[in-house]
Amino acid sequence: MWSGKWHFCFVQAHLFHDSLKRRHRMEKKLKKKVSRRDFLKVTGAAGAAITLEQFLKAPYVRAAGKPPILIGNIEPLSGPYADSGRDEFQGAKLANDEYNRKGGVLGREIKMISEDAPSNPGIGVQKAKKLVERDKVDFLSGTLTSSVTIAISDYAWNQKVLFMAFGSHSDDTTMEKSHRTTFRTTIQNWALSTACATWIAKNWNVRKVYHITADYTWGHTGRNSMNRIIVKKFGGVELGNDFTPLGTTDFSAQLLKARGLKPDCLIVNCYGGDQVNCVKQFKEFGLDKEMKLAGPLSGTPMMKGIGTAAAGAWGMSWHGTIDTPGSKKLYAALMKAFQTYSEWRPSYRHYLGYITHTQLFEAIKRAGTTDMIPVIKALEGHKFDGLKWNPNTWRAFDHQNIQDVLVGLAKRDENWKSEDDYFEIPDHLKGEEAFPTYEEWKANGGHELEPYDMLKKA
Amino acid sequence: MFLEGACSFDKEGRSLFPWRFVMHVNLTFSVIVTQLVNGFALGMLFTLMAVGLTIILGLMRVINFTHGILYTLGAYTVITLQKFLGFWPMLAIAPACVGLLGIAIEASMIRPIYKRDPLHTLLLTFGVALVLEDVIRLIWGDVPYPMTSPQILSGVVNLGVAYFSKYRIFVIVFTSVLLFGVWYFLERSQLGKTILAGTFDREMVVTLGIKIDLLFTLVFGIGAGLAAIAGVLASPIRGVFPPMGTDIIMPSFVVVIIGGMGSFWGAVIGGLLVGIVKSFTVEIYSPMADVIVFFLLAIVLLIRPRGISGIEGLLE
Repeated sequence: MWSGKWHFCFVQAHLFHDSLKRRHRMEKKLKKKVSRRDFLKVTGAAGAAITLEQFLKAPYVRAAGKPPILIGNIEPLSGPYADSGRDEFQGAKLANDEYNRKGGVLGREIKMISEDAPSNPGIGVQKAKKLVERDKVDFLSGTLTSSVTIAISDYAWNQKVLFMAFGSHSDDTTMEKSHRTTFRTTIQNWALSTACATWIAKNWNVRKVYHITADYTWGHTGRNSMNRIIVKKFGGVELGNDFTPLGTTDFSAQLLKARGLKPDCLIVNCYGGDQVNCVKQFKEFGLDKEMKLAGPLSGTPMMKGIGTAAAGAWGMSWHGTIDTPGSKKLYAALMKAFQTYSEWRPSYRHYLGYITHTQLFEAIKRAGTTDMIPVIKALEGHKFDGLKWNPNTWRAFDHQNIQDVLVGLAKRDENWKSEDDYFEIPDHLKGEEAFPTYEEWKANGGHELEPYDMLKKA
Repeated sequence: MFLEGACSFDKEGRSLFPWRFVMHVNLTFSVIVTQLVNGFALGMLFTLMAVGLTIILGLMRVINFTHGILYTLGAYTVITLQKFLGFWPMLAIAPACVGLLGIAIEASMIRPIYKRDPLHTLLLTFGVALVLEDVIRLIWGDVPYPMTSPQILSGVVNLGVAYFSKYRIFVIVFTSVLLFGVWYFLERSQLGKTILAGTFDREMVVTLGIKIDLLFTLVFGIGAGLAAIAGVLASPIRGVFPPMGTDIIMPSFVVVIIGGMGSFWGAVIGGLLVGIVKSFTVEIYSPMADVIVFFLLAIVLLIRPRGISGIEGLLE
């Protein structure tokens, strides 16, 4: 609250006032004028430099006179989710580069304009506005935090812009808050939890659970989805829940409270830096000897931060060790493009960015245009190879990408060999079994997508 | 907020207000002991921050907003130098480096504007904190760095009734010793006595011929060093990221005000009180955990307007 921009402006104004006084005094001392010749020299040089820069930056696709396809990408590149945001950006960039190398899409170059929106819906919408209204982008993509995604999704619907959401896992994104103009690539909490909770209930016999939940839409739907399986389906009980604000660094009191209630399993509905701290402290207080750990979602970026304290069963979208040919190829491409140091490994966020952009480009190709309605129609119901075991589908009634859901066991013990070993994948659930059916979707507040004629711009 | 929570229901028709937890609070003996110890560990970090703030405030009348960023810099010193030197030397190196930086900030920026309104130094330090945070982002990047506690302190220790984190016990012990050292220095050494005298009556100290400017610089350096040690101690628990200072500066100021501005023991008692109250609020009714500190502040101010042991006449 103390780094707000108004405080900053206040300080700035204060300093500016002083500097004006000082400058006035200085100007009295130095009464030297700039000659016309000097002025021309400087502006000439600057002009030449700018033209040269434009020339050097010339794209490697020389589409004859055709304007590029502009994609506005919004990711949290700072704050607790910065790691994952950067990964999604890189995945999307890999897809762009691949298509540009092949001559672009419909002969047009792909150009991505990137914006940083740390997990704050207000800033997210501000950035989306800038991309749509000033940069005039054709499509919006990206975002990670569900609250930001939903805010941008609403904005995109109002502006009638197609928004390809990579990484929001909240159920609301394709249920209560779904829009005709939004597609969501990643797996919703419902499906992640179905896979994870079913696995822990069957294999670990978990019945009594305690939740630590990030206090925003993603965390809330994560907790509800876990309870749907553990409490309703397996007849378990929720012993308690603590909501923690996004960006919480110390979970000690919550963990001690959980220990006092003796659950079978602690469920961590937190992501990013919050998850890192929570799991580290879980181990720090020795809770790993007293109970199991699970959560709807994790991935390599978090477990790297958690390091030797890695533990728990988690729902996952993709992992580097999936042995299908498509995944192996993507893994190799990512390693080649982005590996900067020896421990670096691709994460499922790369996968999300890559899949979404390639799918969008393929849809544009099938539609033969970048107009929104044909592109949406090309995506809806389309079946494609999602690089996992079974084919993926863009479901028509909620715009969710139906796919295999992975269960990952996090570990870093004596059997740990490589940087990809943070997760062992003991099982995966077929998309049709994990995601809500139309009836379940409807019963849980699924919002029917708007009819096509509402898409025509006024 | 309370009423709204009590009267609203979720989809399954349960009250959003967890009545069952109010009715059967799980306060067993082992829970009470562990939450108490945990509150101590939490409070110790606040105390360490607040002691630095309060001696700077007491002697110099400077509301030092750079304190949070000095804490952050302490943590960043660890992640930068730990690879070469290990964790333990950091407890000395980080406060030395950050202390010197504090001295530089004081001598170059704060000293010229002492004579002005305290609001001016507040604005200046606030600006410096914003600039330094962006400098950190430039050098180390936005991405959080994970940290682990040293091998010898990882794991748990048996408290008799329950297991507790070894590292946090170390934090409590180390901070207690350090605080005792600071207290001993202030109370027993000639220099410390002069500093305390300056806190009570600055004009008199100047009249007696003591160079108060040098004293100010020294005190600012000590405060910065304490903030850096807090940063070092917090890094394995909380991770290291650029805005980490913002998370701790507000509770630290609250501790200073609860304890009473300028008072050493006030800061210690205030810090421990905040930590313990926070810990138990999570146990009893967790949605209140972030607000309770401010309730505590309001209650203390209503009963004792100068805080628990505030000095008369400071910033009044």
